[in-house]
Amino acid sequence: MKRALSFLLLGLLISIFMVTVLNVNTFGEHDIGVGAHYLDHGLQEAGATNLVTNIVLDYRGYDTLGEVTVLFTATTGVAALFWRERHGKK
Amino acid sequence: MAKSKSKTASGENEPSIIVKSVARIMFPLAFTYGVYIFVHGHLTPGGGFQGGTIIASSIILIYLGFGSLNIPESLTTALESLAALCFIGLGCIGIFKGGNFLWNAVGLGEAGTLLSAGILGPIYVVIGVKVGTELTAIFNNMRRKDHEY
Amino acid sequence: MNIDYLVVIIVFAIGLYAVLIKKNLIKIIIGLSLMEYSVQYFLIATGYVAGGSPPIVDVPLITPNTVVMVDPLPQALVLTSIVIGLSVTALALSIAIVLYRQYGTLDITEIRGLKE
Repeated sequence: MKRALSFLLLGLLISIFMVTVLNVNTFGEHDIGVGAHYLDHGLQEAGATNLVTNIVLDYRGYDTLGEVTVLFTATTGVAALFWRERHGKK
Repeated sequence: MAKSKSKTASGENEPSIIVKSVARIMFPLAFTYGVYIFVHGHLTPGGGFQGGTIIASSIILIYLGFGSLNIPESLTTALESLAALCFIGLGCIGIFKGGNFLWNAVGLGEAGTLLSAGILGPIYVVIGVKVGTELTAIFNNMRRKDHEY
Repeated sequence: MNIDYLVVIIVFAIGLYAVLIKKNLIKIIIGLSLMEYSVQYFLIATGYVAGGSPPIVDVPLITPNTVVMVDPLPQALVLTSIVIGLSVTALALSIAIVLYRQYGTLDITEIRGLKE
């Protein structure tokens, strides 16, 4: 009974997901919005020939700072979970 | 296929001779490849996060090949915190020169060479070192206390 | 109805099945990672321009004025998302290790410490 209900819920969620994914756009016809400005003026304003590096570190540098913080917090969390076993029970 | 795991006198499982010699050969090649990817991050596809992951996986290869290796934990955490402070310091250069935080204050240089794009090159080097030491520290924490792998 | 979007739906369905129906804790964590990877791939796939090339500039020949380039903005944002997925997986696996050392089993129907 529970398994049949779980499979019914799974089918419902996957059908909603399928309707959303297949109607976003046709594959290959993308309307570039603000990315066109990054493509045209990126080399003059930031200077790197890799345009993705340009976006990650110059136009959206705060997001990279936040991501470095998230990775640091995850490492601290893993160390905190294993602290008691590795350094004795004090 | 040599899959024998010989037990030493202390009862530990030692890796076989093939794993040890291949790990010894592959470690400098993989490490150099990772350093190349994050140093040239502003010229070719790649960058800090991808290069840092390759460096961490080469160090984990050494951990799995030699079962009782022990890199001191204070060294990896000191490198990781130093790299985070260098990232903030490179961002504060813009404040001292009269602009915003993380502003490209140093001159841009000639596009396509290694010393171009202001502070973007050094920032990727710092991020590569940081991510590499962090993933090594995560793996080091998950091992058992008597260091059998 | 393209092969890329069909792969996204299939991988997401496998991940959702693993999270809802399986009982082993490691399989649930693998399903969570699969769902995250499928959505990240979908974000990159919507940015594709037909006949486009990677957004790397080589100054005389390959510039945005001479060749058609794909959208670079989703690629930069998915880079952050991949690292966040890694952090979630690392913390979830650490919690699974600590649970195994406490209870001796990885079956979620037998780990009921909060209910009693």
